[in-house]
Amino acid sequence: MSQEVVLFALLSLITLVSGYWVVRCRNLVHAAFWLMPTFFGVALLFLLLGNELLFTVQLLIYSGAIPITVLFVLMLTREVMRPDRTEFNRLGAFGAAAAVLFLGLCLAGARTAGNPVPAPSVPADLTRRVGEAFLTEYLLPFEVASLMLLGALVGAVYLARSDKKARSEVVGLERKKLIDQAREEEKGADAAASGMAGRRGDSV
Amino acid sequence: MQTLPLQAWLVVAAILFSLGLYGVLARRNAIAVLMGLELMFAAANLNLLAFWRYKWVQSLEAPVFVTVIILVAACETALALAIVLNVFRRFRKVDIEEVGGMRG
Repeated sequence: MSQEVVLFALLSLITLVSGYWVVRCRNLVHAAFWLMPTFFGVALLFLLLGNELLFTVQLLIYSGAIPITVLFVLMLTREVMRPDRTEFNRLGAFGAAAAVLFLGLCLAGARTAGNPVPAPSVPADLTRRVGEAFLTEYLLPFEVASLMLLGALVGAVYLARSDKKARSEVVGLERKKLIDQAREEEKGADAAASGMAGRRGDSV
Repeated sequence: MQTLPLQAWLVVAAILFSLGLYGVLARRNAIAVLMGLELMFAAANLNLLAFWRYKWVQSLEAPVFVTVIILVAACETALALAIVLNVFRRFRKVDIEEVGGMRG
């Protein structure tokens, strides 16, 4: 067994086992942490395929940034785990069946891939060539992607900003309700006091 | 690399994709659904790069395409998480079975 085969087996094992825990873990914070080894394994598989650029990109964006963002939102939504119920919806069994069927379909498709022999090595200047391609041949996708990142940034900030107006309305409504309640109680107390006074007057 | 068949990569990517599909279909928390989506993206990228390595190692389409996919996926994750946050603010829950309507 050559070195690549051992490395490949090890990395796929890491990736798939932690991927399994991402979808099966009951505690979603643990699931978010399991995302890190999953994407780390995928990044190392990219490296094994000879693509240093995408190894770095995958490591930075997927293994680093995305689990952190997911953890942030998990903490903000505070619905990590409810002890009284399962984390899977009522169609979970059908989901599993669909996934297994899809896996069978993929495996059947993979059998038809033939047996291509890989080139002995990747081009040494691959990263430079990709960078040049992004600035010449693929300039339009590059610019569109940068615009889309900007749009997503602004959109995410806009969507996730705390809605001060709505919140102040809610607070105002609650305060009004409290004041009304207090007034009612006061009135009730007054009525009771006057009633009592009246009764006392009667008795006297 | 010579001893490893292309099918090995495809099988690993297929299993990873199916795990992600299971997560998307079976989870009830919207954030967990997003995590399953991320797994599916990773599997698709792995597939693309495997084909690139075994058949088109001289071409640049696959690395460029995978870079753009990662970018788009990052945008999608940021926006989806912002939407989840908004849904939580409005409904006080992020359960996809209980949050069904588009109107608050």
